[in-house]
Amino acid sequence: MSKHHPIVWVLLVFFVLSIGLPVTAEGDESLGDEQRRLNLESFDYVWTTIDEKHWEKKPGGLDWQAVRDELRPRVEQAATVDDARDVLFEMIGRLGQSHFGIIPGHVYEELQVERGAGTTGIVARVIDGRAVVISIDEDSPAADRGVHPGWEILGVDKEPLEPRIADLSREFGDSLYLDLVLASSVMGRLSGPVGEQVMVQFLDGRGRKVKRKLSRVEQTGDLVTLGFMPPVRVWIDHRPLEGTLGYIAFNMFIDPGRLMPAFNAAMREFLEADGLVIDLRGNPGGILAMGMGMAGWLIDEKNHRLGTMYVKDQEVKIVVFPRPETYEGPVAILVDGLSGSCSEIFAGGLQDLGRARVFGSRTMGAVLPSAIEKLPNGDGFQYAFANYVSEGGEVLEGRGVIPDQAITPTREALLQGRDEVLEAAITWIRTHQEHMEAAR
Amino acid sequence: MKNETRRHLTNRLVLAGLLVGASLAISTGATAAEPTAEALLDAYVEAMGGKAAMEKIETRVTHGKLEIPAQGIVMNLTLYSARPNLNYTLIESDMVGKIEKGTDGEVSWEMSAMMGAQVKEGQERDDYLRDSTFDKWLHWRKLYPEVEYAGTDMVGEKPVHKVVIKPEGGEPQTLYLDQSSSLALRIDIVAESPMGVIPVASYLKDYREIDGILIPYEMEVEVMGQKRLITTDKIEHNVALSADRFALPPEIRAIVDKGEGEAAAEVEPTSE
Repeated sequence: MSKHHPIVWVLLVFFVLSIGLPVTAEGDESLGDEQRRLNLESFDYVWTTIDEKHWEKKPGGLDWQAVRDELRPRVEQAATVDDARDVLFEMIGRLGQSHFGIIPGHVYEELQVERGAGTTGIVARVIDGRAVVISIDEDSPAADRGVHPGWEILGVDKEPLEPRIADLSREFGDSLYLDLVLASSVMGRLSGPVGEQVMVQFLDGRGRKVKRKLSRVEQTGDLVTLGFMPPVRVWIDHRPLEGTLGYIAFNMFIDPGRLMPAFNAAMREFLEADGLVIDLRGNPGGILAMGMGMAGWLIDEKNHRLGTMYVKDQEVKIVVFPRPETYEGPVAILVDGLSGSCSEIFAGGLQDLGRARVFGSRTMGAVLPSAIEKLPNGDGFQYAFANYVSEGGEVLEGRGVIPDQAITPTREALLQGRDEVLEAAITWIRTHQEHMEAAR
Repeated sequence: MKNETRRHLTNRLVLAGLLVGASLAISTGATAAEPTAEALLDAYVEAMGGKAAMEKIETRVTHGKLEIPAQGIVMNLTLYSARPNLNYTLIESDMVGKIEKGTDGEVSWEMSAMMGAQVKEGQERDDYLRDSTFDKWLHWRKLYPEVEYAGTDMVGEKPVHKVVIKPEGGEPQTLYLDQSSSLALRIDIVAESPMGVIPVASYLKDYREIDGILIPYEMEVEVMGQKRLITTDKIEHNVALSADRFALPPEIRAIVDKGEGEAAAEVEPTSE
């Protein structure tokens, strides 16, 4: 290729920001010489990558060389694949930062075979120490069996949830990841191989204990593979609200080839709407450029930023490129403790710019730009290579986006079929609209 | 490779060596062993095939791939270029959809579902127009008014001469020219865009002859600590390209017309 510069621009934008998928280690087979060599190479790969690419001179404030000297012999002596992997988990865990993770190789194989974990259609969160159904997918087994939002989930396959929730709440009580950990614990028990059934015990709206045997079916959305990230299901939903408002929700900033055209079509449809609600609850993030591109529908002036990335020895501005047509009405963004990464940059950036009002609960505080690579032993390795500072000067890592209007859903409202976070957003938009009309 | 072509390129490489040798011969004193930047750049052009061979080419279509190997991401890449500085680049994959970038020689633009339609401005526009110049290196004297020899270095195991070239109003670039073949093995640039000023190092590999010109079929790019790989599958020369190939897409034309309209309104005198 005689010309290189024309494609450099593309090279800058493909950085994945998604939070690492919760995975478990597996592989207790004894090690042969070849596996031992691959594990050592993998350890060296992880250590060197962080040494070379971490934006801090002392990654995580650690003496990184000393970490290597201490831990590498343990990989050499590891008796099983699990033991060796545990050392890698320990090494990256010492950084105390998000977006560092090891994805065991078997996870890729399992997800390829199963084409993703099956779902009952229940979306659950833990509210005040109780696992509660907050929404149900249409036409899902849970919907067919009459499960309602607001029902408390008491147990799954005869295993009561309360003790586990109590344990995790104690363990992660001070962590911004508490909501994520609790929700993952509940959702993880509900999900499983497609075609299998699960018995769930509920407390219904009348306070009665009821049981439902629910099938697990394919999750909603298209199965998407992005490089070495395990396959994920991606969906987008948009609809008018109360006739004159627009509502857009999507579960990840992934699959730009399909999701962005759908988002763009929704924005064109809502250009004249009285208000716009973008629902990022449960959205763990994805590709940074998608967030930048979406923000371009909401900002009509050039040179605005959602923040700045600090890579080793340089900074990258997260610029908003205004679309030829932009939406000018009020924008409400809904978030919760499972909104992470790109969701946080999008919500926090627009909040800082005064372009959106954020509703819900504090986000995950896991915003570091990252990449996922394959290790010599077949495991995946996610590593952050930059810090992120919002346009308002906040380091959102470990802090999260603090909503302008903090609202935690209640079981009572859910049982009444209400979504309090969405209601608050609509009320604000209507009030904003009245103020604008009065000003005119 | 045809015998005639091989002879042509062999002669060119010899000539390239002679050009550098001549510059050494006319140097004096403490700089006797130091070639000039001008001679090295002329030798680079000769090594690629020379002016006559380059000027036989009117259009080029390059088919290849853009990969992020460490992350397992692969996209198809097609570049269309024509004299004097027309360019249209298309990147496609199921994962990202379609990403387009181009210039009609005056307007530099970019368009994708991800980022929308954009018209480039300022230094970013100037850089793109310059880099879209067909046979760019043949015109180095015009495109890079300032050139300077910057000593020797190594690219891998190969000794190279470094030449710093500076476009008018742009950031300096560094060429690492193989002391043996005179071909570029590495080019360092600074990509300037609204996202910031970002250094990019490109390693040019696997030079192959096509229609009397040597072209690198592989380029490894380092940007922000990440590696990207651009590989060429096929190059076609002097393909008839329709006039529409480099025309501005309607979305870009609309932005340009709107901008021109706004600019006209700004200078229109008020009628008080």
